[in-house]
Amino acid sequence: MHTSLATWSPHEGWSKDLRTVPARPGSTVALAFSDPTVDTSEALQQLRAQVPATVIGCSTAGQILGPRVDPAPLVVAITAFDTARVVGACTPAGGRTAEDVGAVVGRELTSAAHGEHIAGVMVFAGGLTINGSALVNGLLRHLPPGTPVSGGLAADGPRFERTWVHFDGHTGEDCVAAFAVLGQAVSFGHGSQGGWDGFGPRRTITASEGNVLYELDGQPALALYKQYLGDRADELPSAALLFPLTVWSENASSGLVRTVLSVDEQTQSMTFAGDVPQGWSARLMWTSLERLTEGATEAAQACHDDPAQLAVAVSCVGRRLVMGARAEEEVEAVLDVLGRSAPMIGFYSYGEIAPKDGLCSLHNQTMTITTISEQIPAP
Amino acid sequence: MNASPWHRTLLRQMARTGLIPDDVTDERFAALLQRVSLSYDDADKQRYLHDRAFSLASQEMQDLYDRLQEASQSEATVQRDRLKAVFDTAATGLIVLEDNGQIFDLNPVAEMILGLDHDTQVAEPIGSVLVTADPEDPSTVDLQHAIATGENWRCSDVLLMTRTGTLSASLLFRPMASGGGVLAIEDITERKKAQAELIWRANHDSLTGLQNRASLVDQINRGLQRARRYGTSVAVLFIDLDRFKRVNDTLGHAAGDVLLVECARRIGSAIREVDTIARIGGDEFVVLCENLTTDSAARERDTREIATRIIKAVDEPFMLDGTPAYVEASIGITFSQGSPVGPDTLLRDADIALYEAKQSGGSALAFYDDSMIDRMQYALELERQLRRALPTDELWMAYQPILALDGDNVIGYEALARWNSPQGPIGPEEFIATAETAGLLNDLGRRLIRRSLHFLNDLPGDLRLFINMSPSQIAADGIIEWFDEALEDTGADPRRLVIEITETAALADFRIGQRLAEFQSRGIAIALDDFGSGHSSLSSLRTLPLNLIKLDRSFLNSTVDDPRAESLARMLCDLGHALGISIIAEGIEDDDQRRFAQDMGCQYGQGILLGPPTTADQALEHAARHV
Repeated sequence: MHTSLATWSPHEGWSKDLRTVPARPGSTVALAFSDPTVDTSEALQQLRAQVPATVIGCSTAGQILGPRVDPAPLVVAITAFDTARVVGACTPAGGRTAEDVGAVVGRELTSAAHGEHIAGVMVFAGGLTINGSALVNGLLRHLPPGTPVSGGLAADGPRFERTWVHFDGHTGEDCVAAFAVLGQAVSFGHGSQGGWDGFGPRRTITASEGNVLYELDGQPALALYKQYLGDRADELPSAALLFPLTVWSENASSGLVRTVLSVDEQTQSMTFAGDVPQGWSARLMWTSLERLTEGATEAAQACHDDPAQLAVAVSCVGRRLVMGARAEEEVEAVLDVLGRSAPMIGFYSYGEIAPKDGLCSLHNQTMTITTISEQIPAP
Repeated sequence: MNASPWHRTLLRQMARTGLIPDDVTDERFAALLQRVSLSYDDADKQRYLHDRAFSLASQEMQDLYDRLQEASQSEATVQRDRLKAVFDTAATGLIVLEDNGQIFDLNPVAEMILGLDHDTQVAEPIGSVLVTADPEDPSTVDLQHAIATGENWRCSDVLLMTRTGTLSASLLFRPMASGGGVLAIEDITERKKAQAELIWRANHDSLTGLQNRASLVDQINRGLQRARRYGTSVAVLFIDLDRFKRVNDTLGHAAGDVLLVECARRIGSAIREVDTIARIGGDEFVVLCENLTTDSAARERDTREIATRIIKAVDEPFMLDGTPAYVEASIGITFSQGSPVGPDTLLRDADIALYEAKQSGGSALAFYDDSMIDRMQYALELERQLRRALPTDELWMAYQPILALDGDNVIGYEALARWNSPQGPIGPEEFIATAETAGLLNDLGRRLIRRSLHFLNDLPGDLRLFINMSPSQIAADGIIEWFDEALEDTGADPRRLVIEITETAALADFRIGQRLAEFQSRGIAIALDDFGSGHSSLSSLRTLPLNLIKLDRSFLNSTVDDPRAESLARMLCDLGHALGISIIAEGIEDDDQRRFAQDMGCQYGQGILLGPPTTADQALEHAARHV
């Protein structure tokens, strides 16, 4: 297994000659994460043309490559497996529910695997309209039990206007793309950690519908956020990422963290990347740079994959907003654990997907690490 | 945010180091300073947000806390109000005590029970308001100990002294976990009185206040024990009022009750101080005489004296709402013998003696002897036989003629009851008395009167039929209506009927007179039977509506050689004539007696000489011959 990292920018073009990168048809995946404000379509076409790989990726709120954040508008990691196969699938949501779309993708991957062992799946989806929780549920429904699923929701910087999903040279807004690595020699490792702490009073979700939140304690949720953001309410919805919401049912031992995707002034509602069920409890969260860095370290430590031959870091846009110019500190913290030489690619997302405590689900406001390695079988 | 592209802190730091932005011409240095400036901006934004968020959260938490506290205070106020309402309206006195025994609070009932004023008693030690009537009573000390040790304590009955007097109280102390406790105090004075009343009621007759049977039995047992210990004897006097039922029936139960109360008083005043009186039934009283000698003659004499006093006391008329009522006392007496006896035996024996006394008429007493049991058994057997014989022909009517003494003309026949029992004939006095005692007289009398009315219909001409009725028969409810029905059924002519009524004390009852007048209004004549014997009362001649008098046979027997009796007989006859009442001489057995009766002025006569009682057929034959 070999991973090559590359960047592309409009002015400098590719950082290396793609044709020299090791790649085997059917056994190579090229992860590509792009700045949504820069037109990368031509570069992605080139990538598709020059590397025999499943090209997959999405737009971001910040591209990660090695220890750097935003080194270039397009970052790429081309991984060629020695023995394992790679299969991919992509479908537009097309008005279907996220769960149904997930189910379609899951079925396609399973079908393409032809019964071969699926070592792991990574999925990338449009970040504004697709309910990540439902998407994962749909995927898991058709994948063999125990298959680890990780990935993230595409982002649009702090703007929340348009997100893109890339697959094999095509780019679509409202799509779900995924690839699976087949073979017993490949292993996936996962870690996901937040570093956020609840503050203020416990609130009750008194009006909500799916992932749309209307009221907390009988008051409009948006008004509460505006009150807390003060001057920065102008920066909604991205500013709401500074106060993610943790939600939990009456009997739950721990809460789920929810990130805001959009707000609606007319209905005074807020749409989150995951469900916010009515009757559940909720609490605003807060963090600091130090706590976020701690979280990233813990996420890397949870991967148990040493040495990683590919690391994919998906971190939340909310963390980026908090850390600002010091966002690279959490990326460095991850590499401090995985090893400075570990090839790492990633992006800041609108929602992270990874297994945690035995369950694959959508996370918010976390640093999520997926490590992939392949053992070369003895001759 | 700064108007300058660089953060003001950075600008300040640059100025202090003598660097101005225009000096920065190196691109990489400028990029570095730009990044530093951004980091400052980020930190400012973060701090602003952090400070604002935590200030708001604090405010929210404070508001929440205030609301909770307000709610909990309001809840506490509600709870306190509720407890206060319960405390103030509790039916039990409640005193909240501090752990040092001082009064913290007390409710209105506690104030009322102890006669305390709330404000002046708060903070007073409980020992100063809870004072036992008995200085030796350890209750308050025990209570103080319970308060000090925080233990439960109860005292179900203690006599307390309060400002207003004494009261019986029950006390209950419950300690509180926080120290001190609550003392519940209940005034049980009334409850104790009620209990005493219940005990009294269990042992006394509610009407007269005399002891009842249960109490009497105890009293007899104690009397017997004393008699054994001191070598004395006791007597039990069983008293029954004769004709009491008639007072009840005629004057009402309220009047009857008044009579019983007065009777109890009279009996009580007739006995000695050591004697006990009890009422054990409707008109039954028992007197227990104690401390009597064991000498049988002496104790019989002493007891007779007491019994006689009782009889005389009861014999006096009772004035009930202005109406005189008459009852008589019959008394059966028995003594404790040498052999051990119990109350039941004594009461039974006295009751047997009472039966005997009643057989001999009212106002009588009888001492128990063992032969009475045989007689009583005989009487009971007789009663049984009589009940059996009632619907049979064993009971029949004999008819004795009554003649006009100035010739031999028969004017009528007296119907006389007869009983041919399987054991032989039984005299009317015996079985009539048995019927009266057994309450069968009405039934018996009505059956026999109906037969006699049929006989009357068979009698030729205007011959009359004389029938006997006792005062109790005449006083019985519905007798007039029954008579009217019997007359109608039989078709007998009431004008040919004479009711004979024996003169006794009972005739003094004004209702008898009323009944007789009602009979008379139907054309029935009234004759006073056995006049001059026993209860002769000249007032009867005035008050009763009489048509005839039957002079008692004793006059004819005694007057022959008794000038005083003769004078009395003549006077009675003169009196009758003067009042326009015809006189029938009874018991004419020979010609001398017939002549004597005629000589006194008796218009009619009856006796063996003039014709014995015969069967109905024989009487009808006799009538046919003498009309």
